Amino acid sequence: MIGSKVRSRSRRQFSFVPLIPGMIAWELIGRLHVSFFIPPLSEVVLVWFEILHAGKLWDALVISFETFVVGFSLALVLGLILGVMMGRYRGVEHFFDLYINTFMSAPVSALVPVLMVLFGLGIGTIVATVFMFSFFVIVVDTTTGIKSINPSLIQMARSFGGSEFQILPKVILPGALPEILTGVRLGAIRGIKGMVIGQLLIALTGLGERLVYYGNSFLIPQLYAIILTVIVFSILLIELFNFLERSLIHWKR
Amino acid sequence: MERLGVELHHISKSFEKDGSPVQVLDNLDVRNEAGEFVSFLGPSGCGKTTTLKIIGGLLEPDGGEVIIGNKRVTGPGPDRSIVFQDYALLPWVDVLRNVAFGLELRGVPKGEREEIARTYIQKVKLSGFEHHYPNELSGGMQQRVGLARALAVNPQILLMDEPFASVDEQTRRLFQSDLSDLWQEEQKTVIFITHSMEEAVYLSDRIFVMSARPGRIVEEFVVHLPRPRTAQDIRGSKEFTESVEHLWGVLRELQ
Ligand SMILES: Nc1ncnc2c1ncn2[C@@H]1O[C@H](COP(=O)(O)OP(=O)(O)OP(=O)(O)O)[C@@H](O)[C@H]1O
Ligand SMILES: [Mg+2]
Repeated sequence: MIGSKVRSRSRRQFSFVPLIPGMIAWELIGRLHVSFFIPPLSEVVLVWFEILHAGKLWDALVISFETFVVGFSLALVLGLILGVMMGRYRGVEHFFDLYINTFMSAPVSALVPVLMVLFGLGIGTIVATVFMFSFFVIVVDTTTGIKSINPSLIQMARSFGGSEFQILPKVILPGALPEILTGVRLGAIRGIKGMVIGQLLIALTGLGERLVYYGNSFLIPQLYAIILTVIVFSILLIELFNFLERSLIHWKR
Repeated sequence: MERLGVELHHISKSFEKDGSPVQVLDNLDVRNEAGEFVSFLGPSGCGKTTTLKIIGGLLEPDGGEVIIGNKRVTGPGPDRSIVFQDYALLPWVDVLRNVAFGLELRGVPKGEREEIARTYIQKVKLSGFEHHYPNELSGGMQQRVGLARALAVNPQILLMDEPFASVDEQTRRLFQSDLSDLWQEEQKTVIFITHSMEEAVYLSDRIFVMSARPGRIVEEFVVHLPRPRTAQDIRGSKEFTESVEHLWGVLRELQ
């Protein structure tokens, strides 16, 4: 069971310890002036505070976060609805299966130019990119979760007079919750990728614009500061979902 | 409480297996009088669970009909509750909520349904385990949760699918006499599935023996033991052992 392996691997408590040797190595290599392109970690951190102070980073963060939240929320709501429908109704599944699987495996980045044509060179395209990156995995995992519920539980609920409207929140959704949360977490991680890629390609707003700008200006410590920001943002998000998983599915050990 | 009988008229049922239909039940004709305790006995896979689920309204027969009271069964109803062979407990809620789940679906307010649930938790000897989750319980304990849940909705007709199969022998005997007493008091109509001939004889008014592939009734056996049967010596009586021997004879022929 690949799914459960992924889950248990990510559910362990986050620890900074393995990061420490890497950080020390980075600092040392930076101080030895091995390459112009590897500044010491301490310098990157200092620069990070500098650009945060100058307001540039903060603005970029806020706009990135907004586009991520909007795109991801849309993907979450629509992904859950479609996933539940596909898990419950064979007809719906047959209809959408091919589309969903195609987009699941397709290189979504290649679609960004198409999205630009559709949504223009602004926020809209980035929201759409986030959506395209996270939507499909949420649908697939929700469908899987719903289909993996023990049919006996649904029969049991029906035998006590449960209607579809009662069975959905009381049996189907809680039963599918572990898979749904896995999908949501993977969707969020992909959504961050989508956010960065979209902003890189458009290079007009957010962290992506900063990346392109600092990269082109050879402001290497600043470039790393932005990259670190994205990484920290992802780690925080993943930890949030791990926390949710741990507290919501305590019954599955 | 109004007492209801159950009639099966010419029930047949097939399942699809590898593209071709396999006949599981063939022209089953059974009548369970109101307030009567009836058992089904038969080899594994002969269609006992299928029959029970058809009576419960969870499966639709391919042919024939089930009549309860004077009405044709078209789905589940508040007159019946099922003890499931595989327990069918919700893993994400505790014992208390599992036992109260039937009442919850039927819209009984929280305080009231938890009070009822606690009574039945006590009856199945699980007091103290109210806030345990199913994966913290043994198989026998889980089965008792399923039993309490079915009893808690207080149905006129109890459909029990090997309800004591996983409980230990002492508890099993206690539950058999408890069920016998409960039936004596409330005169519920009970349809009971078991693999145990002794259990069937001890509890039932009538026993239907089924054969496999396709499932049909090969013997209808009336138990003549006096009631109540909770007296100590009933299992030792000549009538009891003769009944068990007779059923064993019938079942042996089926192998
Ligand atoms: N949903 C289903 N799809 C396909 N075949 C089924 C299905 N349910 C039951 N069967 C088949 O029907 C037959 C009867 O099953 P059933 O569960 O009614 O047997 P049973 O008498 O209750 O057996 P046991 O004593 O082992 O519980 C079996 O051969 C089983 O494989
Ligand atoms: Mg069975």
